[in-house]
Amino acid sequence: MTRFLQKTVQLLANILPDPAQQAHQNHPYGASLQGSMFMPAAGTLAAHALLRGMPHPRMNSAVAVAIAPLALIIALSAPAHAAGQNGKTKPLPAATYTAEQAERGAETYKETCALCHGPALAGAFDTPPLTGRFVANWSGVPLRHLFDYIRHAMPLSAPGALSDEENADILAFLLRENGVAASKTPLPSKADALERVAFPHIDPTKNTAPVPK
Amino acid sequence: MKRRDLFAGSFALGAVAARNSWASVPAAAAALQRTATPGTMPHLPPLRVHMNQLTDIKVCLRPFRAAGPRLDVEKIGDKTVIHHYGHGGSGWSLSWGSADIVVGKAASTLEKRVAVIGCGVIGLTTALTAQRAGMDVTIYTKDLLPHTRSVRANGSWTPDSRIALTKPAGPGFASLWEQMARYSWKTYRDYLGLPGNPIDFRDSYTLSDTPFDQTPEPPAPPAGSPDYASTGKPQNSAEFAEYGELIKDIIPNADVLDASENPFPVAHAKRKNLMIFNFGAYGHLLLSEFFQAGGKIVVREFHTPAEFKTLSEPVVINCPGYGARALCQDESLIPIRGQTNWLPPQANSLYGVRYKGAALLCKTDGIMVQALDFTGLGDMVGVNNSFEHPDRSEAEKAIGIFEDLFARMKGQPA
Repeated sequence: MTRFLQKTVQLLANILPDPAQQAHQNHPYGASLQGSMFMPAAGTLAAHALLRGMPHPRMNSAVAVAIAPLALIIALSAPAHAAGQNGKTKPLPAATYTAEQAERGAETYKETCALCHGPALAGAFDTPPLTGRFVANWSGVPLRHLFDYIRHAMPLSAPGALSDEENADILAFLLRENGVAASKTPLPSKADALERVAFPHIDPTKNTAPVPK
Repeated sequence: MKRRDLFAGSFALGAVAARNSWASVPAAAAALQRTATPGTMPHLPPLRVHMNQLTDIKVCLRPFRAAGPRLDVEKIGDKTVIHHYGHGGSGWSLSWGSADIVVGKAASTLEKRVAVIGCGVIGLTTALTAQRAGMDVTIYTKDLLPHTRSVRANGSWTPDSRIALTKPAGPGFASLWEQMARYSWKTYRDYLGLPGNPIDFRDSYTLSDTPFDQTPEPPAPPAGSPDYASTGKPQNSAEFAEYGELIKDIIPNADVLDASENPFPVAHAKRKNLMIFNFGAYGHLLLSEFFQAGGKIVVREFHTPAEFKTLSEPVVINCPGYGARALCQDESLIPIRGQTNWLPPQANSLYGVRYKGAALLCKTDGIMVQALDFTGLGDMVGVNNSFEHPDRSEAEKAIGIFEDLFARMKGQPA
């Protein structure tokens, strides 16, 4: 009986929002994770194969070729989710930015990011690109997560060296380069406000991003 | 002229040897600081080490922690998270023994399903060790070999290379280290002699223009000078822990060579049998073993440990290496930059050389050339340097040392 009660309490604890987590919304350990970060397992394998240009060791290459485009579509078209209270999901509005922000961001990117991630955001063998898999990582997630990640981890040689405004400009630039059109509404540079907008989903057939030079 | 001097030296030494007769071979070996009876001049073809043969420059950041690797257990939501990172320059060497310790902690939860975060050498060996302990393992990783930082090491047995600082690690860590090192060594021996030589041994020569007993040691820092305790960063090489003595009974000792068996145009040479890890053969073998045992790999990137709560496995072993600095915001991780420079493999030559602060090692995937210490800074070289980009001038300097050495070796008897 005691065991049953313990189990019930544990189950309830799993379902109900964690008060500690809510209290520590500003702490990265307390940040909630979004459902859309999951890709279906097959999609993950195939997307992996596609992006790495080789079949996954457990996947027959013909299968990989056949389902890779499908996986990419699945990965890119996963519905936007924002895990709200009580596990309810509600899509967050897509983030917007102004052309001026992206312009400033382009300059900062050139100075502090391009050394590793490359002028065309293509990354290198040991540095992740900021297109493609990057989109799969962040699409549908509150932009604040990416903002926080950049703030505490980047640039690699001097993490945290940039101001919030500079990091928001870089975000605007990254959105532009990934095919999100500019708007009149600027991207906020406050973490709280960035919690309420999502990294937009990107339709690769409508990518209007400037062709990399 | 130089070579004549060398031969003259060997005759002189021979004359001394003739005057003293040792009672036994072990006595002679002890007197000569040797573990083996004298051999003949080894045949070592000079290597084609030139800057224009460069195939790759790899740069990594060793995940150094003053107190040694992080192995503590933490609850994140309802997950038991066992941290497993921060092995400095000793991750490859200590991987199996360190994995054995954290998998023991995982086993004590009585759970059978385990998630391993990261697929570098620590993640992979942890996953395999967990499988061998009967667990059902999924690796979640953002990168697979050869994209992980692990394969940007030099890949040789260096179990106490920037593993900790003596004082912050404390005396307790020495015995933990010994346990890890012995367990790893035995596990690696199981991978010897397999197709493709995933693990192998190389004769590694250390050369010096001055006698080894006259090699200057860096002076001890004066009392009261800044150190880790006062600054939060290591300040001099004397702070770094050395534990090699603890396992010298199982690690091949170095032989001091006399002139008759020194194949190099340098007056003083030592030879040591060094265990090496061939990244390609070994990495693919580990991955195959993992899949054969039913392991699963999910390519996924985590940005905070809170995301572990969304995994289905109740136990998470966190092996992100230097990635922990971004993932866990672990400021106790101190980057120590290391660069290896690679040339094509040369199948007829399988040995290693250390000379003038640079190291060379013949491996199956190439000749590795590395600048170890050009400035006499010892273990302080690269500390707190997170510039993870190739430095071509460093490559040129290291390669130049060996280019010069092998040019002088050309006249050696074939």
